[in-house]
Amino acid sequence: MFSNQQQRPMRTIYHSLLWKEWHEHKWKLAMLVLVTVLLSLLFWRGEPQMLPVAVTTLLFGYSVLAGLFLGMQTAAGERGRGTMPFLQTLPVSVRKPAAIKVLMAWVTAFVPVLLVVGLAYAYLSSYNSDSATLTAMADSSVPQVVLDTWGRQNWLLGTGLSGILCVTSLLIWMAAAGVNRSDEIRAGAIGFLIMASVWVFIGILGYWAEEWKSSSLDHTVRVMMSAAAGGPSIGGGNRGPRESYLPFVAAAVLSHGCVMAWFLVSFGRHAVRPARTRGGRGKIGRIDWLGPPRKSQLTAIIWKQVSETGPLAVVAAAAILAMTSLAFWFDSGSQSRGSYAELLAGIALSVGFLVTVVAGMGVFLEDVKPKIGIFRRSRPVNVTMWFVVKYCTGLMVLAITFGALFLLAFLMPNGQRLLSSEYAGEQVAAIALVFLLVYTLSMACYCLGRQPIFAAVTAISVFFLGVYTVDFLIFRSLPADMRLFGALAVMVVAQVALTALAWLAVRNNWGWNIE
Amino acid sequence: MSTPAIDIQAVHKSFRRHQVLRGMTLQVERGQTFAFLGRNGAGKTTTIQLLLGLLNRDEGAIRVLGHDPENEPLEVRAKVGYLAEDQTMYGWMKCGDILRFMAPFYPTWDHDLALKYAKDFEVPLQTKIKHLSKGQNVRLGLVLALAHRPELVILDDPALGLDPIMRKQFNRDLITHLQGEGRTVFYSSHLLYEVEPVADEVAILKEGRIVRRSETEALRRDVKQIILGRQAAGLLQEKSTVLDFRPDGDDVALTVAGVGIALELLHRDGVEHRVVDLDLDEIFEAYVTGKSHGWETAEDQPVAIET
Repeated sequence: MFSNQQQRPMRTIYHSLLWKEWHEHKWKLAMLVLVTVLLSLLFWRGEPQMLPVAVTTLLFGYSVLAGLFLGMQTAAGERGRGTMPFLQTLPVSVRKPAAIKVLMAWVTAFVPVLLVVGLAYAYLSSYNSDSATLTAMADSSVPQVVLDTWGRQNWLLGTGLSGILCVTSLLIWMAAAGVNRSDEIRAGAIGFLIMASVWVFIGILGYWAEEWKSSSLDHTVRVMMSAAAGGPSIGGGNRGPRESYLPFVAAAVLSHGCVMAWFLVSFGRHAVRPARTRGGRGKIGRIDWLGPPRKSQLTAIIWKQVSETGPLAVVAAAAILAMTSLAFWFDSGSQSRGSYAELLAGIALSVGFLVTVVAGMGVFLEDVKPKIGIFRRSRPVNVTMWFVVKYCTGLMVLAITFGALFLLAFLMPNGQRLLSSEYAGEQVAAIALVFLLVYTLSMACYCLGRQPIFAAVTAISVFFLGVYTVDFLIFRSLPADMRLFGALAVMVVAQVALTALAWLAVRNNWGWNIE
Repeated sequence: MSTPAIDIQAVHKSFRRHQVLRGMTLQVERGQTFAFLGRNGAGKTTTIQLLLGLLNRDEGAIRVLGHDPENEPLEVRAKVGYLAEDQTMYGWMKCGDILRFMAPFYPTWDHDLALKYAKDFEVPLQTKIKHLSKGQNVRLGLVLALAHRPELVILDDPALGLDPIMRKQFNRDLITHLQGEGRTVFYSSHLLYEVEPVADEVAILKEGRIVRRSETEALRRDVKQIILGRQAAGLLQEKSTVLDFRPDGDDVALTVAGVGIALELLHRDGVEHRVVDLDLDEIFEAYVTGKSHGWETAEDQPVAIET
């Protein structure tokens, strides 16, 4: 028989929608809370002087990643799992589900920030630490822009609020920029490109302002920065000494209001179009570099994987070059080619981490979805070959892209300074190994969880927990001469284990289909 | 006189340069079970999306239960029960959950009726949707489409992928729960034998136009195959509508619409012939794939007899 609960329908549309969104976000929230709290505890390790750097690093890293990933899911989650047509046919404007979706994603992103700040505050209160010492430590680790805006004494409040503004801004921008894409990865790629383009545009204006020595254009550019994705987190830090907060706040509110309105108006406003007949339009000007038909299974799989990972890599490379140029123009203290090379390498490394996570998930993004999975598994394809070729091809695309960026940095004037260290070879090898591990980890997480956002959060969390574990077990416990070997051994074991896990998941169709 | 449940007037719809509907006109009276037939890609789903206000038309007019779906999509959707082809629902919800979830969206939702249908259709309320079989998924979709007592039910190839037993069961449910209650049903399909037992009227869509609309029985009476000598076939070419032509040795088999007139002609001229009854599948095939043009110039073209 039916239970009483089943016999009671929900009371209002908002009740229904909140219940649905809460259910879809609750495990993400639990996971984010667990990871952020665990990482913050691990990072500051009970040492108060570590608190400012731990909180700042964690909150800004978290805010960027959570904003982007939750925004990707808000933008494309319904389409990605095929439930958008169902939502569209409900007798309610799709703006309501869209608004509740953003609200719940924001709550999911917001709560961990609040917890980390609360935890840090409670720790500070209980420790009765010397506030002067902490303030001095904050000076060296909290971004100047936060200290300028909120004051040195309020660094914790300022960092928390900046984190909240950052995550909110990125969430809204990503949701709007990637809205209605067919899956989260595409939403992420398009969203990232649009957000980066806005910043590039602002950067070009900034360059002109500097070239023309135009103070009004300079003011406009700084106001526009508050309006861009992540811009509100800068707060009034880019405000001149005698300038009012008002234009900066107004620009941020207005732009984010418009972006949010765009998301609400656009969400769900698409329909499945009838299949186009194959005509000349699709063939003209298209470079079919392997030549139809594919000569072998190998070339066919390589072609497929290059088509899937290639666009992401190209977008990432373009965005990295744009961001580097932007940062170079804005950083007046780095007016040398050598600095440009260092900036390029640094940005390629940090953005590369994110791109590697996404590319890792993308290797089997389509292949493990139920319908496509059946299509693939029903073909006479050797699953091991399928796995190995896709894995290696995706990796090669990333290696070529980032290799080219690093080579460019190295070939620039003063770029050789990047490899001037005595241990440069070891450093390059370690970076390559870490990227390989992140790529494999992200792929394994997606193959097992089959949900991009869970996979991304899990991969990033496991990676940082792994870093801490290696730090604790190897670098703090082993003798100095054993550390390199120990770290290498752990990485190799992890790499083999993760590859095997992903291969078993693909071969045996293992996975949880987390929703 | 009540307004039609569905009134489509000269509707055009294109996706960029691909024209899907070309001046389609159609009315569905209230209380009818209306079969909307067409091959894959003929424009059936596009028509349904227009009816629900999910797409906007390029030209023409549409009224659904007196509302314009383009301007009043929510009013239309509140009164219409819709079951999509291969409908994907939230896999993490249990069947009972989705019934509760859907209730507040419809002012006329009857939760007791939903639970009754769930019981009648053997939908397991404690099971997660992702664990349902294909048949259970379709039946759950039907419960969701019916529980708000819609005036019009739109079914877009709902039985696609079900086995024959399931399809029969589905149609039986349809007859019991919809026709019995006098609701209007707009049933889109490309499987004629599926709609034949339930449809009062059929319309055949080809390349964005309705090429035939008729009551099921009238259609069967009107379209038949006539087998006659090649030389006599030319007579029918001029005086009646030939849908399909197939050479059969020295004879030809012509599928003819308006068979009454054709037979009258043949009797008048004393032409020897044989009439074969067709089922709806064959009639549909003749309309959508039949060689109605061009056979006249073929090498084995029948020669018109002089009268």
